[in-house]
Amino acid sequence: MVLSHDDANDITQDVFIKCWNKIAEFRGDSQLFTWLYRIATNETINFLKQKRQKMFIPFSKMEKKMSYFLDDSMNFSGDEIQKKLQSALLKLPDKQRLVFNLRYYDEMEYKEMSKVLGTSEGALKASYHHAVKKVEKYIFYD
Amino acid sequence: MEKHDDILKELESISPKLAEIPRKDSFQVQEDYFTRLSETVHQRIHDEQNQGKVIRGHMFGPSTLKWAAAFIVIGILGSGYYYFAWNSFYDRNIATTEAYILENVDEEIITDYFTELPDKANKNKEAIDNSLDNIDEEIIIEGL
Repeated sequence: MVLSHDDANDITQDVFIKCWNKIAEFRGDSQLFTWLYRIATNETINFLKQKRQKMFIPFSKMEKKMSYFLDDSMNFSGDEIQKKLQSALLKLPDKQRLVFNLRYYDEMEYKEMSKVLGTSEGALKASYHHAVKKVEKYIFYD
Repeated sequence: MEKHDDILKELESISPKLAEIPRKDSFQVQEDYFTRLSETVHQRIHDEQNQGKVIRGHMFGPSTLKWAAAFIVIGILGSGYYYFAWNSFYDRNIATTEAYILENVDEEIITDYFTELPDKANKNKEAIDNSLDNIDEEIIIEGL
């Protein structure tokens, strides 16, 4: 979701600290895995939102700025097509990108994803479908 | 493996071209990253517990600032309205009173009133001076 290693590091730390602070509130209604994922996704979405607000950057420019990390980053080892895939993902809205990542990279079931994101399975399938179509268009036709 | 195949099939059905791209996570972290992460998180938790909760974040958070800004705007608008409303009411009252006096009170009475006004003021001043002369200064100083 975030390309910079520092950003990812910040979010990871915040997620673990939040889990530590909120573990007493975990009622066991859902699996621990789902609960952790929910915290992580919320933290990530909030982080991206705050970063845009702090830097007064519109969505389109943020995507461009983030894509520079792919060229400079020591932590990215992908080839040209992987780089293009990541650039395409940056063009998606945050929630759609999240759905794509959870399905494509984390291989999460829609049922599980529905519990994590609090969205219906149908909506998630539609979101993933749109995301794939947009990514395909950007990589192969733009 | 079955789950992986289902996801791949779904992807093939939506975009066969995208499904051909080898799926791999191209982001890497240093080998000891998670060891160091554990230490860093422990340290941050320890620091937070020692410092206690940061009150500033709650007191001057974005929602508090929004409310404060709203109150200030409402205050300015309210004061402005009060100022103009009071002024127009005051002007209207003066104008009405003047018109009433000019219409209903005899001109001679008005002229006499304004002629006698300086005399009355002088008389009052004299009366105050006289009474001050008759009072012992020490009593005044004690009273103060």
